[in-house]
Amino acid sequence: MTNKSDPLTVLLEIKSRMETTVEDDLIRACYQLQSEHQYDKDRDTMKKMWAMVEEVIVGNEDDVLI
Amino acid sequence: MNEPSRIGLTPNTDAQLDELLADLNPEPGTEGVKLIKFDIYRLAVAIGLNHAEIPQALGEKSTSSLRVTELDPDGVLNLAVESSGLLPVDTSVYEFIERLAERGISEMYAAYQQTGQLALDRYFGEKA
Amino acid sequence: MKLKELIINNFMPYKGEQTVVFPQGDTENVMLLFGDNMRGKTSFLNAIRWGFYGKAVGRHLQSIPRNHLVNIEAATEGDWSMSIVLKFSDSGKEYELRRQIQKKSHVSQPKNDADFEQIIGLRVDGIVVTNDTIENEINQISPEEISRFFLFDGELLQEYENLLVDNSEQGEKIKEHIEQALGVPALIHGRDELSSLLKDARRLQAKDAKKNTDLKSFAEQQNQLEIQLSSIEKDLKDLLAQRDATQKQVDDIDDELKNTEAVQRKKIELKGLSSERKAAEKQLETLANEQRQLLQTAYLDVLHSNMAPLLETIRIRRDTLQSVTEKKAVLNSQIGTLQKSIDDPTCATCKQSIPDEKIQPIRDQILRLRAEEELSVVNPEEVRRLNIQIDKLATIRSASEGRRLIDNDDKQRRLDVQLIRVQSKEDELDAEIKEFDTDQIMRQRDKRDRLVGQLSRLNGDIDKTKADRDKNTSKQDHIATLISKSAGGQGQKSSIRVNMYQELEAIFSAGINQLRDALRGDVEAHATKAFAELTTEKTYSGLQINQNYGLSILDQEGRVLKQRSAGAEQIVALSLIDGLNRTARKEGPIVMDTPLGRLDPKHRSNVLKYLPKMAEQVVLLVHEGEIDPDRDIENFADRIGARYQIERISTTESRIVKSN
Repeated sequence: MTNKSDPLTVLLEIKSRMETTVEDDLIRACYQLQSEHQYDKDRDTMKKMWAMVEEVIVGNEDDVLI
Repeated sequence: MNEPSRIGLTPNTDAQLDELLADLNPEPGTEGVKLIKFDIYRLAVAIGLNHAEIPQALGEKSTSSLRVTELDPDGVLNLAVESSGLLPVDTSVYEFIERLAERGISEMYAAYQQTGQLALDRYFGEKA
Repeated sequence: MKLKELIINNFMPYKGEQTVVFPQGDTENVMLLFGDNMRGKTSFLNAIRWGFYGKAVGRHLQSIPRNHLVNIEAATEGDWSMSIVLKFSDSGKEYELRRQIQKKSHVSQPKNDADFEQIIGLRVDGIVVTNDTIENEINQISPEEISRFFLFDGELLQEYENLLVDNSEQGEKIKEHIEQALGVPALIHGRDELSSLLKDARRLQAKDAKKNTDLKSFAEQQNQLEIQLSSIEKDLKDLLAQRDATQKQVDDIDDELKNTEAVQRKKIELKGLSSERKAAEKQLETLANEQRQLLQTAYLDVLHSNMAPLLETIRIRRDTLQSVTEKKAVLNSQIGTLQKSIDDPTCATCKQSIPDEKIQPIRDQILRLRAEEELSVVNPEEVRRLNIQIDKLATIRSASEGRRLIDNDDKQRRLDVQLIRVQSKEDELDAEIKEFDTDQIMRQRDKRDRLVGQLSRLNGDIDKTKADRDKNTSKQDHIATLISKSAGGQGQKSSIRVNMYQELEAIFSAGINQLRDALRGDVEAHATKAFAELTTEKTYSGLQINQNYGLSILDQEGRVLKQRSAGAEQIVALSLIDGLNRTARKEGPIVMDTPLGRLDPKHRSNVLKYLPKMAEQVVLLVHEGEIDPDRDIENFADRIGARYQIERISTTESRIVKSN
């Protein structure tokens, strides 16, 4: 696939066009997770994504508190 | 030499001739050209004249069912036998013809049994 | 990925163990597999597919159950085991994959998949791979979704062609497959999971909102919408299941009806054969009569040739005697003339006496002539006798009965062969036709019409339900946003969470579409390149792809061509396949039916020249009637690395053998 068609690049490029609050890192992490397990029979990626997002939320909360 | 007025085949060979005719002729009741005893008899005689060997006298008495005047109305067979130079001394023409037919039909029948058809290329092919 | 070896055991028509070795060369990268029907070739494709993914696909892309995969002959003999071994290499590693099914011991007659146990084994560079990682390992090398683009048979090619016709039902199926393959599973899974997580986040948000008096009503609404959504989603699931079931019924009837067309054709063929047989029988009757007629006078032919030499001898003797008789007559006449001149020795012209001296030589001459005359002895009786003999023998006339009998026999023999051939074909067709009941066919046609009506109603309901669902989720989104923005909701963890999922889901969703568009663009570019090499019309400027992966041909001005020939459809379909392959996957083999059916020689030659370039390894399944071994293969003879033939041993058994 050509570079402009690399999925992660596309996601990040879209993100930068939209007005978003999510960080690049979170997107990268989500994509990586999905990519690694895309052919797994029993995926437990949903649980892992929830956990990743929760971490960010809690982390931000801490920032806010601080 | 006294010529017989009737000739035929031994009973066994006569039965074989009947069988041959039944096989070659169309089904009873159907239309078509039908062969009779005379036809095969004459053919056997003609083929017999191509043999180098002279046929033996009949083993048993023949059925004597064929009238010579009907078998050979134009004397063609008679002429052929006389011209062949094969007729032994002391043998009448038609007795000789009877022998030729006896041998010829036996052979035709034997070949037919083996191959299911007349050995046409032997009778009409290149002379040996 | 490069295929190295395929070892089949009891798979579909292939009884026992059969091995195929794939060519490994860079230029000699084509393998030809010849067969005389669809079944053997499709089964070959399925053997590879099943080896990799445990799935074999039949008509309308339906899965074939395990008990139909085991060779019938073997099963009848009690051997219900079947296996496929695939040896291949990828990224420098050697793989050996073994997939095997065996009837469970307590089962006597297997009826469904559960009656079999499946064992899978994989070795990478000789090292055994643990069972639970095998499927993942295989899919990393060659994802199942994409396998459709490199393992395809003629029917699938037809479906691609249908794709190019707008709004066809079959086209939809293929479009789904392409979307799946090009959609990049990671993004699709991500989007689906994020969507689900968003729902959970909203639920939590609604719970929090309940605690807040200002936001209570929002919470209530959210709750209601959730309940409604569950109900809508259940309805949608049911409708989709119904549609699939109905579609399957339609497909089954279509199969049955397709067979009826075949029956009609067979009936016509049977009629033709019947007349052929009657004509042959009549001819044989005529020949038999002719034969008997010839036999009646054949004796004359025999006698004629028998006596030919004798006749010849007699004729020569008679002719000799004849000429002697003539000579005698001449001599006598000469003597007469001379004698006359002696008796009356007066010159007739001058009336003078002939002197004595002149008379003596004449006397001598007369004596000499007399002597000669006496020597010529002819017995007129003999001549007469010979003439009679000749006349008699000449009555024996031949009409070439012998030669004609032999010709006649020849003709009869050939007709007998023809008759037998026709009769056995008639028997075969009769048996095949007997299985069909025309009343049943009428009923099935009606049933199909009703089912199709049902389908379109279901599709309408499905669209409406989807619309309801989308309306519901956007309402929920709206309310969630209101909550997030409200004084009570802002800053709340639950609102932040909802916001994040909304954004992530939107990004992944947009990502899927953009990626598809980009990939679609790639497909178009590759397909255009392929098309340029395949088409014979050099003024075309390229191909254009639309939302449904349909391809249009552009003329030299870049305008879309409205009319296309059947041959052009095939070329375009092939270009699409090539484009999809190059876009969707890494290097790998292609196993396909040769799409040569409706192509003219020039296109055919282009296609054959191009096929070896489509992939690292190309396996072509060729129908013997489709390809002219000498003319067509010449096009790429130097690329052929292996040739195999599917030999039909019986209706239930075939064997793949190496051929030359």
